[in-house]
Amino acid sequence: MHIPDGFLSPAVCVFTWAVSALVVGCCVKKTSAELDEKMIPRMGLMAAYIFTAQLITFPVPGGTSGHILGAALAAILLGPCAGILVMAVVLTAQCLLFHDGGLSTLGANIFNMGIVGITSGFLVFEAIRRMAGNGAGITAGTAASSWISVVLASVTCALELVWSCTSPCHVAVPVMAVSNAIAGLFEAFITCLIVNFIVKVRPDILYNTRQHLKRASLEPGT
Amino acid sequence: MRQLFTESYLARDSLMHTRDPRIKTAGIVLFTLFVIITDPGSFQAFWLYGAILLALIILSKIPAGIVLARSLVIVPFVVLIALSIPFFHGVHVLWKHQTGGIELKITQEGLLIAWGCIIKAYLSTSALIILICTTTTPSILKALESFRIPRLFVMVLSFMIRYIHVLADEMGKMIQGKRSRSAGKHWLIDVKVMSCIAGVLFLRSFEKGEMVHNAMSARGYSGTIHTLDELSMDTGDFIFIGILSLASGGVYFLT
Repeated sequence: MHIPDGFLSPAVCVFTWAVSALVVGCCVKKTSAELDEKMIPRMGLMAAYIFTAQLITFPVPGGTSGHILGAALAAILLGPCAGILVMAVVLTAQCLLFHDGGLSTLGANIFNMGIVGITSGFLVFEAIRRMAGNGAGITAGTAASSWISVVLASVTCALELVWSCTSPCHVAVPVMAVSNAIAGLFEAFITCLIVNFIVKVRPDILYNTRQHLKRASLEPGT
Repeated sequence: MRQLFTESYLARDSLMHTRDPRIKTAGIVLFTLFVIITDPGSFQAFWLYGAILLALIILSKIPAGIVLARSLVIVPFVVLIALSIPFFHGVHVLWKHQTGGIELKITQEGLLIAWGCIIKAYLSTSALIILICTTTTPSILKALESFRIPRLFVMVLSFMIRYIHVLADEMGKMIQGKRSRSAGKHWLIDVKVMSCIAGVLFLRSFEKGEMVHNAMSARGYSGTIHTLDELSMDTGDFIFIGILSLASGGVYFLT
């Protein structure tokens, strides 16, 4: 889903760059206020983790294999602000060092997979977790948020292509949406297994439980 | 894992390698900008952009084959574009076909859009590959920092690049262990084990982050990293950026 250079018109590039720079800038500010400078190594390792998790090839029936996008995983594990920052870092490295996605379209890629993917993933996850509680809510929330984040990111990507007049609306949107709705099922399944494993081994490590613990430790007498 | 394939070309000594990373990065960004705003119809311009790239490849003494092979990453999007060609509307119809209620036609306008996307993607990707093949990662990061990109962002990026290999190695070991113990299992079990590996990798990297920070604090880290090598520009750098921007600007404005 990494858009290369030349597939988006200059106007779309400028617009998405501006939006992404603004949002990532805000996330940088918020993260450095929240976490203090000493957390930089940990953020770097989380980015390296998301990058590596995208490299793992999972077997798919039929002899092929696939990999995950990781936006919902980052949102669930790191929270929205740190998640967007980490995704932006991962996408920048993929653009500069591995040529996945172009320089002029980096803004659009950060917008699709970082901002749209993380925000939608986090909102859906939180909503379902609050409704269904911490047990089944985490599993259901993970599944729903991973599927929605993949589909929304791909639809945004398709809409950008349509807006740039690169691909007509009735081709790009259905092709991207249908193929990613199927890929999203796979993503949801894998992300569920990963998150369930982490919850089983270290239940204190998820973003929302970390926030919860932080709040609890601030209250007197706990 | 995907190795940083360019590492073997970084040690060479050429006119491109010795340029200041800020100059090189700015030059490539400028070149990319000119390429993407060029009208797809001006075929001459793209030939000339290609000639500029060829000159850069010759200057940097990297094999042209590696640039060609590496720029194939754009293929998935080329397929999407190729799928859209029959659906573009246009005046100059070259080929028409009616199936059911859907009308498929290949128009000159559609072909032009597809050609523009593919050639632009190809040229910009190749330019970026030349930059990466001639510049070490730390100096690219330094260049980014001097372009006023937030320090936190650049530092997270540098930590990430440093630890990709460590994590990928760790993952490779776990996958090898899994392979040697569970051959020929049902794919569902395979997926489950792989997911556990991904989970373990997360826990390990989370803990490693803490350890790295402790090790750094023990060595006096207080939020900034100090390095000895400072960037400096010389006349050659200014001549390089001057020629590159004149050439690509000239191609854009004159064709």
